[in-house]
Parts: sequence; structure tokens; C-alpha cells
Amino acid sequence: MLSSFKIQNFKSILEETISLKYAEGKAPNRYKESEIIPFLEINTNTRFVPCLMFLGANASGKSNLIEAFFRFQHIIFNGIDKCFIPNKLNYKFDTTLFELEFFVSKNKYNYVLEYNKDQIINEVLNKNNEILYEIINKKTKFQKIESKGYSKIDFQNLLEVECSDIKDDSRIQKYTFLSKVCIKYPGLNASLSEAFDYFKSKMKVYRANNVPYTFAINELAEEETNEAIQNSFHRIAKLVKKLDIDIEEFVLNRDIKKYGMEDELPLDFSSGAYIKLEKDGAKITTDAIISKHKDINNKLVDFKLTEESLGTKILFGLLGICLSSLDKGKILIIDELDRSLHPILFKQLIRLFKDKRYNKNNAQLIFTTHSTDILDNDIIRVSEIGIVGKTLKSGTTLKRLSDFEDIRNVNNFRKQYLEGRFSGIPFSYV
Amino acid sequence: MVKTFKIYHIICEGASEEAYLKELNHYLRESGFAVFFNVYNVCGASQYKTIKNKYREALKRKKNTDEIFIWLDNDVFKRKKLSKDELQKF
Repeated sequence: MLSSFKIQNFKSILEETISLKYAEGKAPNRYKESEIIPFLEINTNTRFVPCLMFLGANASGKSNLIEAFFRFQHIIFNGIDKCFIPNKLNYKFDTTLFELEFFVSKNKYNYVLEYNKDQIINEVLNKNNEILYEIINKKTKFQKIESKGYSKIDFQNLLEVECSDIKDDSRIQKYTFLSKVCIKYPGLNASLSEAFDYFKSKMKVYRANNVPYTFAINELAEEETNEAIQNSFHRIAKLVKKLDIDIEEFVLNRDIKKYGMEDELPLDFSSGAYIKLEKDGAKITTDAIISKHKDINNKLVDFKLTEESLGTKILFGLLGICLSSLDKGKILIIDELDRSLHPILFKQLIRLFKDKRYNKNNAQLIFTTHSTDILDNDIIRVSEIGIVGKTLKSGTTLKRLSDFEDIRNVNNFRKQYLEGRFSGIPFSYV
Repeated sequence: MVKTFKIYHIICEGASEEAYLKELNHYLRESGFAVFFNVYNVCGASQYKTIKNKYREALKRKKNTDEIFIWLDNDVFKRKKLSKDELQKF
């Protein structure tokens, strides 16, 4: 479960913390009997929201909040190259800092990463407020992860050789210690592996809502067997039908071809393909999804999914990644979730994460939207609505409705938001 | 805790008044004031009934801390309401 994410000096964001803590004090009355989840709970003092939406004017920095997650995850696995994108209008900070606090079962982890254009300056991982390892300005502390087989010198060598490049005769850290140590010594330390696995498999960041459906089906299927693939496909298809998309039946025909290093790859991927690079070549998966509609004589007529509306295609991909997140208790972070979707469908998508029948594994959803209709519904609470604004002095700012005085869940948020009571609206005129 | 914005509901006519208030909103946001001018534009329809309806709408939305102001050109307002004879007398 994600608790908070601090961002400093990244694009339009100067210094902001995205908090997912349940901020309403008391639990709502009779919440245990309700179908809607008000919070995810570790204990009565540690509760988190299952959803967090970012609402704000264009160019206020909503997408930058999502991109910060993306860059942070990218740096962990691929290093800092091309990832230093500071605020160009306010020079308060020289470095970019990300700090993520999260829970795996009941253990609290805190990971800090600070870097500039050239190198990683600080990298710290804490577990339950104790330092697991610390690299601050090249000074290191590895006591908690040292063992008989792996001494401080081994870690020091790993840091200097695997994580660093040479510049002007000195070594500078370019890659995170966490990823290199967990890849090189996978069984070294359970806590390190737990934290690394969270970043690798639990955090899913999408910078747009048009997820390719082959990718979505693969994401949902636990194995690559035909049975698992068909199973996950039918789960998505069943939910699409429930959402009143006027389609009688779906059929999936999957084609997998392997190509060697010297084979010529096909160039036409107009109907979508999933390319997986392997040591000895590439594996290309193409899915032909047939949707069947009833004609005027009650007979079924075949359509390709590519012929369906943009909304249907988007919904198909989205449902795959949503179901996958719900199954495995992931955190799904997605930009413009409502693009091309009807407000009622959009509400149902959010409801998946708020419904006890679907969200049994503490999955969380963070998304940006321009749809204010969702504010009128009962499913979103004051801790789950973040209003994004921007000023030159403070950069992008984020305030949840629960931060405002005298705001209760019974209030009509939509009307008040559009009136400008929380700011975060454009002041436009023509 | 953050204060919700105090809203001044302004009933005004003309695009220039609206532009002025929106620019003022920009300035207030940059300066960190929790104040917002909500514009009710009665552009080109400065009749008593239209303004009364907009005033009622603002009154419905108004919270205790909010205030309502009506900005109208006095001469235009009077000219539309009075007949030609009355206007000559005036």
C-alpha cells in the first residue's frame, strides 16, 4: 500500500507531497456493513484511501504528478540518464528528490532518492524507521544488510563498479544501488527484495489510458499458457458486456511467432502487436479479437475489435489492467483515466477499486481527470479528491478536500469546485 | 487546515468587466489570497428582469461569508427601463 510520495524540483513541481492517508479522523458510521470501501486498513491508526483523483485546470501540473511516479520507477531500473528535468521557472532547488513511503504487509518502507544532472547524491532505504542502507554524498552505511558472505567491501565494490560511471577520473553513481544489489544478489536480504519487488511488480504507471489490449490481457493472465490467456480474455469480455457495451460475444485468436536474430521482422502492426525481445531473437504476439453483434434478423455478425469505437477499445485495455491490479493488490497510476469514456462508465471503473467484492487485496488507484461528474457521486470521499493548482512562487500545489476547513462528505463538491471555492479552475475569457 | 475561498459574486455587463475580474483572479491566485471573484455576465441584456434573475442565482449559491455586488452602467440601465418621454424628462 502506498502511503505518500514526496516530489521536489521535478518539472512544474517545486515541493509537494502526495498523501494517500485517510484524513477524515473517524471511520464512517456502519462502514463494515457498506459495500463501498472508505479506506484500506493496516491498523486503526494507519488507514489509506483506495483512490486518489487529481482535478485541476489545464497546465496546472496534474500529468507531471503522474510523470514523477513514472520517472522515479524508471530511475530505479534504468538509472538517471535523461531523467533530470528540474523546474525551469523557479531555481529554489539544485537537485531533484523523490521519497516514497509504502507498506508491504505490515512493514513500513521509506525510499529516498536525490539526484542532479550528473549523479545520484543520496539513496536511502528505511524499514520500520531503521536504516537498511544509506548512501549520502558517497558516505555509506550497509550494517543492516551485511552478512557473513557479503561484507561492506562487497557492497562498496558493487557501488563503485556496477552503479557508477567514470567522469573526470572519479566515479559517479548513475544507477540505483537497490536495483543492482537485488539483481546481482537476489537472495541476499528479504527486506531489500520486498522493497525491490514492490517497485517492480506492484507499481504500475501509465501515462495515457489507451493501453494496448494484448498487453492488458497478458498483464491479467498469471501465466503465458493458452488457458490462462483465454481465461483472462473472457474475464475482461464479461465485464465489458456488464458495462452495457452493445456486443453479444467476444472471441480471441492469438498468434505467436518467434523470430531469430537474422529473420526479417514484419512491419505491419496495424491491428496491434506485443513484441518481446529475447536473447535469441524476438517473440511477436498478435491478437485478433472478434466482437459479435446481433443484426436485424437476430443473427450474429462478426466485427474486428479495431472496427469498434475508440471508447470500447480503451475500455477493453483499461479493464485488463484494472482487474490485474485488483487481483494482485497493485497500485495503478494512470493519466487522463476518463478520456473517451462516458461519465457513468468512468464511475463504474472507479467503483471497482471502491467495491469490497472486487478490491479484496488492497489495490489503489491514482488518476487525473477533467470529469467533474464524479464529484456528484457518493463513491468518492473528501480524502480522495486532490485539487491541483499552480503558481510561479510555489509551483504545482496539491490540496485534498479534506485539507479544507468545514468540508464534509455530505457537501456538493462539484458545484463548489466549479464555483471556485477550492481554486483549481481556469480563469478563462474570450 | 486550508481555508475555502471567500467568493465575491459579481453581476456585471460587458466582456471588459469579465476580463478584468478574471485577470484579477489570476493576480490573487499568484499572490496566495483565498479570494475568488465569480462573474455573472449579463452582457448585452441589461434589463431589470435579467439582472434580478442573476441576483437570485447568486443568492442561492452564496454562503454566509460570501458577498454579492452588482456592477452596471447606471445610464444604460436607466435608458432601457424608461420610455423615450420619461428619458427626455430625466
